[in-house]
Amino acid sequence: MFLGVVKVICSKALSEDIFEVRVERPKELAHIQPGQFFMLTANAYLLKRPISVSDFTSTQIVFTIREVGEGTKSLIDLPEIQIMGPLGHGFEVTKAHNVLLIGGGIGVAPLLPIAKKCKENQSKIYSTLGFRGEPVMEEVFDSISDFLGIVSETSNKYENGYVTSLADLVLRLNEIEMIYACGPKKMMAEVAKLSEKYEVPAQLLLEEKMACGIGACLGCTCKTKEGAFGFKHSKVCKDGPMFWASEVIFDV
Amino acid sequence: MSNLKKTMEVDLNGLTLKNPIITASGTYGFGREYAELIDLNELGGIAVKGLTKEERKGNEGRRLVETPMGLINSVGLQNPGVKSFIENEIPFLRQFDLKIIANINGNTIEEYCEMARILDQEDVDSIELNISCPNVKNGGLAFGTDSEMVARVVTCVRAATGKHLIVKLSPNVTDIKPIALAAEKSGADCLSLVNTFSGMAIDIHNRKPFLKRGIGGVSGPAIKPMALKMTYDAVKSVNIPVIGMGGISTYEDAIEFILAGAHAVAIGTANFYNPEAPLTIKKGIESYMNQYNIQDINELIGNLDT
Repeated sequence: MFLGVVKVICSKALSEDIFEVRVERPKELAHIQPGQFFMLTANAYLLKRPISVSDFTSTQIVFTIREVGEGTKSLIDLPEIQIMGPLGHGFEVTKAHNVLLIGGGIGVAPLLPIAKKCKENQSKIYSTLGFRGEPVMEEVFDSISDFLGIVSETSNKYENGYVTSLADLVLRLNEIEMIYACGPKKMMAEVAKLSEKYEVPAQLLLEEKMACGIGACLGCTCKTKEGAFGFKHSKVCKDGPMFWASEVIFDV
Repeated sequence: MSNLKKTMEVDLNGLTLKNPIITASGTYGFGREYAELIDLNELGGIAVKGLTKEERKGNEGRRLVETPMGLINSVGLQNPGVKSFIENEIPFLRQFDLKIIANINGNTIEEYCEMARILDQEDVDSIELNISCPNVKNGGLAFGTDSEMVARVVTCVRAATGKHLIVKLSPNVTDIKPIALAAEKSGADCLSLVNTFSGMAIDIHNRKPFLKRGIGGVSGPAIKPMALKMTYDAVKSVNIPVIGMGGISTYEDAIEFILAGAHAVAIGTANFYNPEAPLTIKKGIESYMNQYNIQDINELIGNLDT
């Protein structure tokens, strides 16, 4: 695992509260799996911030970050940054003919690497992305998707509504074989229902508050269907962040 | 003088550590996660994740709240149970040159004793009796805040095991001295303190506490001055060694605890935001010893000019 300081190549705003940080990829860094994340050292309070990889090449890693407080805010405009990773179990790559991406808000960012991987594998990509306001990363998803649908809760430039309604429609009309999703908890619970309804496996990239990011603090657990108690608290950082929709218990 | 080999070895009344750096229970799992990042052979000891007799699923809902220079947790002793620890974790940890400290928790005095009896037969170097966890309904803190209860549980566990016995104390008391004394009189070989301070944080938009149980345990640099003072108080009231902890994140913090009288220090929350903390703290202590021409760390313990 890599733990060290890397140079920031550029840092730019994508919207009012979402920004992109592009860093140099250290040579000794292990293979990155789509859906994996890094712990980024913030210059506020104490803890590092878990941030998914939203793109990578052999020389660069991109983090797309939503500013939610002082911690994430402190990650903007740094000349260099300490990173630790790659961490967790990411998405399982499939050779499915038709894959559906469901992204909500900042959750669209970690879907890009798996979309690229699916494209390499000749899959047809249906992307459904939902935002509260104006979208981000529209162009890049447009270029990689065979179908792109964007909804917004407030913007009058886009159809208003929830992304899961759009995803429902896509699932009804197409022979989707695999779903990849990332977004707010409520959206993820809806995706799990869609996965069950259409009998299409779904890989969910979950998010939780983390202290260590490596499985030691047990702060970031989610409920999964297994173990001695009929359910288990699995570690989002280490057992996930990818979980199959069929194994997660949602308390929403 | 400088040719003489410096020693960092400390004796905790029957448990010898090659250096005074321990990783605190609940912040280091069973060492596996950190073994990918640092050389565990550098540690004096590891206090493993709090164990219970049976597997424990831990608390539901949100478990962490970050506060200025601190962290509130409500994990609730999630652990695989003592049997799994014996089968899977002891062999792993034995690959390294460090002392294994098994942290044990019970709902009842009998459960504490049963765990001590089980571990007495196993390859652990010390047992740390956790009578100070604020995040469970029964046991934990309830045993650690009353001198009579402390005496009862420690006496009972002492009878159940010949292993080196550390009693981990809670800071959630008016006066640590009678508690420390009760633990010593009842057969503790060593004390460790502090566990977390009870604390809370409220989500003002939902008008609810962030943590489902309302309260959690506060750790991190925010608690260091209070932890240091309580360590100092405990050291003055007993004749057994004390392991100091609470917000230690730099070597200067560690030296403060040692000067206050701690024989060893435990690094906790700092591991989360700086996995290299135990190593940099150890190196820092070494350079401090060089700076002041100190050959043996024992010269520093309690060497406070007051």
